[in-house]
Amino acid sequence: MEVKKKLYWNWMVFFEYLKINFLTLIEYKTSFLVGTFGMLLNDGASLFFWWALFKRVGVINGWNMKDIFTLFSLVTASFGLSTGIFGNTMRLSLMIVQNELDFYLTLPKPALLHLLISKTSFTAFGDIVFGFLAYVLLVGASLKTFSLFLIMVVVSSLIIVSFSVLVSSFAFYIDTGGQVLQEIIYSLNALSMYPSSIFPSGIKVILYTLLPAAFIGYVPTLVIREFSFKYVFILLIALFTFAILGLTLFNKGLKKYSSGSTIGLRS
Amino acid sequence: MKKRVTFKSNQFKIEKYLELMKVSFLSSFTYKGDILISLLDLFTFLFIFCFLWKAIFSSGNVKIENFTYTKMVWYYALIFSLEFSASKFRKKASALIHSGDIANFLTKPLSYPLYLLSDSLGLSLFNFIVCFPSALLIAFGFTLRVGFTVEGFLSFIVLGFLGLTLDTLIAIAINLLAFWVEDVKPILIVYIELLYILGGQAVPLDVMPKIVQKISLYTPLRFSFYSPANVCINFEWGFFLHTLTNTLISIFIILPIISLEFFIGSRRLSINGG
Repeated sequence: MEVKKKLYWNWMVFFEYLKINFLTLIEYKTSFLVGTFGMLLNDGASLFFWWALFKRVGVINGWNMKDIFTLFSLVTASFGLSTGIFGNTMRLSLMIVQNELDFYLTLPKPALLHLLISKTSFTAFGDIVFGFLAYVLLVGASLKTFSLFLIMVVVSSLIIVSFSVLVSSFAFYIDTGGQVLQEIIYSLNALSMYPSSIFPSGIKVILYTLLPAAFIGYVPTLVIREFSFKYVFILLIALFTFAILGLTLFNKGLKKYSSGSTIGLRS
Repeated sequence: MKKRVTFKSNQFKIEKYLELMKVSFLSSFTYKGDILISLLDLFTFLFIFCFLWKAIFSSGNVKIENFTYTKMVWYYALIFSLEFSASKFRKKASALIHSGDIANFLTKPLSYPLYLLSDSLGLSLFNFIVCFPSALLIAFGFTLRVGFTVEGFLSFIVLGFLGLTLDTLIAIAINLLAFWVEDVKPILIVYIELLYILGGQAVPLDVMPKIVQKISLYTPLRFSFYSPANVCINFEWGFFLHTLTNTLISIFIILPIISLEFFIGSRRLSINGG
């Protein structure tokens, strides 16, 4: 009964913050429009790069233009969804290093969930729109592949958030270097935009373990391209592993956290 | 007869800006985290592109004008070492105009555009010293040979410096639009994306469709990063001189535009005391 109540309470907090974040986007129209426009342009330029490249080379290690477009749309939408809902995902390490957690620790809400969802990204909407539009218009989705795409976007987003929490939690153990940890997460973004099959086996091992880019772009794309329960199972194992590791390290690190005694205003 | 020193003539003394460049260069040593981040970025992207092109060329049925795998790796090493040296500046230049702190500059014997240029070039020079050798090492590790001649290397140093100057000047011209528009960010984004496609950052222009190659001929964007890298790996005196002339022409076209922008913009400024 207690667990059920807790889950309900967490869901309400999550839902309320979704509403607040949405209202924030509407309130700051200029930032929202600039962020969306910027992302659409940025994603469009990257897609143009792939289009120009495939026009010249045809196939790369068994991947054709449609496969790459699927991968690109999926990763773009996943990063958009993860930063749109869990807006502090990318700056968690900086928040820890700069002792910005005090506010979240004093409230009767789960600290990690609360601090992840208490902000949204102004650029995320552009990524989500671009990802879905590019997939539907350029790849041409059936109901089955679109449903798989949707599920894979959610799974990839959760892996991104879990891995980011795991990496950012190292900030509890170092006094500086929050930006470097943040950069590692950005590297994950860059690496997941390319098919893992182009890398040699040594690098592939890293892409399936230390920097799990393969679980964000490559494997989910395989699920959509050639559905197999094996790939789904691998993805779920990866998701639970990173989620548990992230949660454990964050909670352990939290015990080492000391307030910065900074007095500030929250807007 | 003693020469009369005026405020205006004092503003353009080159020594002052060289000193500012030196200060910016030396202060960059303090930000060790930034150095590490630049290197991490450089390594990530260079590794990705080296492996991507390895996969493309190893299929055996790809032919790209003027480019072998070795040349392609060296192209990316050179273009990334310029790109990662330049990219930091664009975010902050319009901030002083928006915050109104530009007023401080108007009382100083300093030119704001020249201050931005020297500050940015000092930082770029520092980034270049860090990124360039690292990129060369990675490229050598992938190809086990040096991808340019001595002349090519020297041309890269000259054209690379001018390319960075041109990129900075274009960024300054865009940032000075802050005198008129509320937010210059969208214009900067357009510039960055155009540079990505028409400036050969994504792939060499030779790989792009003919229409993109034609459009790029009518813009100065190719001279910032693409031409220095391309001249270096495909060195010919004629090619070098042609690129040098065009880069200098582009710089001399944009300089009066910046002066005019600042001249008109600073007169529109209304300063509220406080």
